[in-house]
This record gives sequence, structure tokens and C-alpha cells, in this order.
Amino acid sequence: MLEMIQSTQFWVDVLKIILIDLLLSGDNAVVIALACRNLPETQRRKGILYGVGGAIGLRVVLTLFAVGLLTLPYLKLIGALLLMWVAIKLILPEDEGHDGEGIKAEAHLWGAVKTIIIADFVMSLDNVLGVAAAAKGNVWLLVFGLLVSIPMIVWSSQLVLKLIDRYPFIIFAGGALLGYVAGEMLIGEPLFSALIDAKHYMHWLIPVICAMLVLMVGLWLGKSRAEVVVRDLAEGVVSAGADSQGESK
Amino acid sequence: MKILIPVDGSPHSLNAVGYAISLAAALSVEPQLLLLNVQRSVASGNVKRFINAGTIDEYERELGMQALYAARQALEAAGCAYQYHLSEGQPAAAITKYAVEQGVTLIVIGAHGESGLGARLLGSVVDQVLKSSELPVTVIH
Repeated sequence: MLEMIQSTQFWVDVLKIILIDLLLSGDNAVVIALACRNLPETQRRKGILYGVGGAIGLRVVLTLFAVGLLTLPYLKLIGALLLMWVAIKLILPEDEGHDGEGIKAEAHLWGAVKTIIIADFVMSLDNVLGVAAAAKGNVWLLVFGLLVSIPMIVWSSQLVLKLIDRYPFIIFAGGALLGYVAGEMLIGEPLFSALIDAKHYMHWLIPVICAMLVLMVGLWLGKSRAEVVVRDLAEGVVSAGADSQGESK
Repeated sequence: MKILIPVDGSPHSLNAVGYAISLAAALSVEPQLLLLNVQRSVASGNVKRFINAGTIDEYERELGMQALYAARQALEAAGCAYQYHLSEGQPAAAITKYAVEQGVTLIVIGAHGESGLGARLLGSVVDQVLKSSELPVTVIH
């Protein structure tokens, strides 16, 4: 353990995991708050509590699974490919006009909890996969990644969203990092070990190629990335002395 | 004359409203006062996937109306007519866009909105408005 902490590689991995957690923490907090919006006051707190609890529980379970599963043959290959997709998705512009596809804020506690759990599952899958790839089978690092992501489930990481808004290149750097980590996972796949050990430069070449691939595919698919959109939410006119009357559209 | 007052509910933005009210009183022709609040989108891809657009809009509208509340109170107490507007997007871009759309003469804005780490990393909205808008901007401390 002590030896591990003294190596540079360990701290590089820690940094990678923190960055991946930040990028793929998902917006559990926002989803939880919005899914519970239409609940009566008394149930809202319960819904948020169950939602946060469920999110943390799911992440723990998925992390445990990741530890066990990634030792199986082929799974690192599958994991690496999935992670490349997660990385590309991160770079791609979001679809506008998702109208009606999302789930309505539920008026029932269990409906809201169901929405939250499904969302938690999807977001946690991305996160755990990324962290597992960066941890490279080191259980301490996996647990560390899990612990770092929990505060981001409880409190929203809106600062990250705002930063991305302001400095869009963060998203490309993040995508490249995930691609690199996916490449590292790929070279860890037992199937290729003979091939990769024979040519040592593969250890850095493949991650770099994966990072570039993510950037290229992301840029190519997202060519039409729209500039920052401003939308109108509501407006109203109030004449002097009159009671305020708003209209929303 | 049209005066745009972007507000975020902070004390500084209320100072800007106060300044605009006294400015309005001093002018011989009553200017049109426009309040604007901009909400940053809370919706990342994942949020949009699981929560429908109506709920998100409703939530942002609620936050926006809360941010406008104190400014509206101040204007109504002063007996001023005004119009208000809520936008979603990057604050500085939304302020500039609305100012141009409305043919505003002057933007009156509070010196600090967001504070702390966020503002330091992001740069203040005021800085960005000063850079991106070609209109006269009065910054109220």
C-alpha cells in the first residue's frame, strides 16, 4: 500500500479518476430534484432520500460487479468499446427539442423513485466503467473513485456544467482522456497480451490512438454543433400601479 | 428610451434596479424599464433523457421568477411600469441578444452577481457583457 502511494503512476491514476468522476458524475442531483418536483411536500423529502440512497447503492453494486467482471476474458474488450462510445457521446452536442421523450415529473412517490433509479443506473454505468478502466483492477482506486463520486450524487456538480459552457474545450479534453483510458483497458485485455508484450510501444500507442479516434469521431459526428442557444422562457408586461400579471409561453 | 436591467436576485442587482428607478424619475420622458433574468440551462444530456422538457422549463421558470421577485417588488413600490423577461442560456449572450432585440438604449447592471469560486473560474457576467455588447453599459457598485 505504502509503495503504491509513493509511485507517480498512482497519483496520475488518482487524478484521472477525479476528472472522470467530475465528467461522468452525471447529474443525479438535478434528475432527483426534478423527478420529485411534483410530489407533495411531505413525500418530496422521502423521494429525494430514496433517490440519493438508491443512486449510491447502485454505484456500490456496479463497482463491485466491475471488479469481478473485468477479470473475465473479452470483457475488457467490450468495456473498452463501451467506454469509447461513452467518450464520443460526451463530445457530441446534445439534441435539442427532446420534447415529450423524457419522463414527466411523477405525482406519485414510487413513480418518482422509479424514474430516479433508472436514471441513476444509466449514469452510474458510465461512471463506473470509466473509473474501472482508470483503476486498472486496483481495488483501492475503484473504491476511491466511488467515494469521490458520492458527494457529486448528493450535491449537484453544476459548476462543471457551467465550466463546460464557458470553456467548451474541457469536453474535448475529457473525451480524449476517456478514449485514452479506454485504450489502456484494451491493452489490458488478456486476448491481446501476447501481441502487446511483443511490441512495447503499443502500451502508449494504442491509448493515444483511441484518444484521437474519440476526438475525430466526436468532431465528425458533431460537425453541426450549434452555437450557444438562448431560449425565451417567459415574459410579461406590468403597467404602473397595476397588479403584476405575467404570461408565460 | 429603453433601459435594460439584468437581475439575478443579488443585492448588487437590486442596487442596479434602484439606480434605474432614480434615473427614470430624473428623465423628462419616462423611459421603458425592462427586467431580464437569465437561467443557465440545468439540463445536460442525461437530465433531458430522463426528465421531460416541460418539467425542466417549469423549474427554470420558477427559479427565474424567484430571481425577479425582489426587483419587481422594488419597481412596483416605486410605481414604475416595466416589462420582464426570462431567458435560458449563457447569461452574457442572453443579455446582449435581448438588448439588441428590444433596441435598448442603456444597460444598467449590478457589479457582482455570482461570487466565489464559480465567478473566479467563469469570469463575471458583467465583464462578458462589457466585452460583447456594443451598447452603453452602466455598472452599479
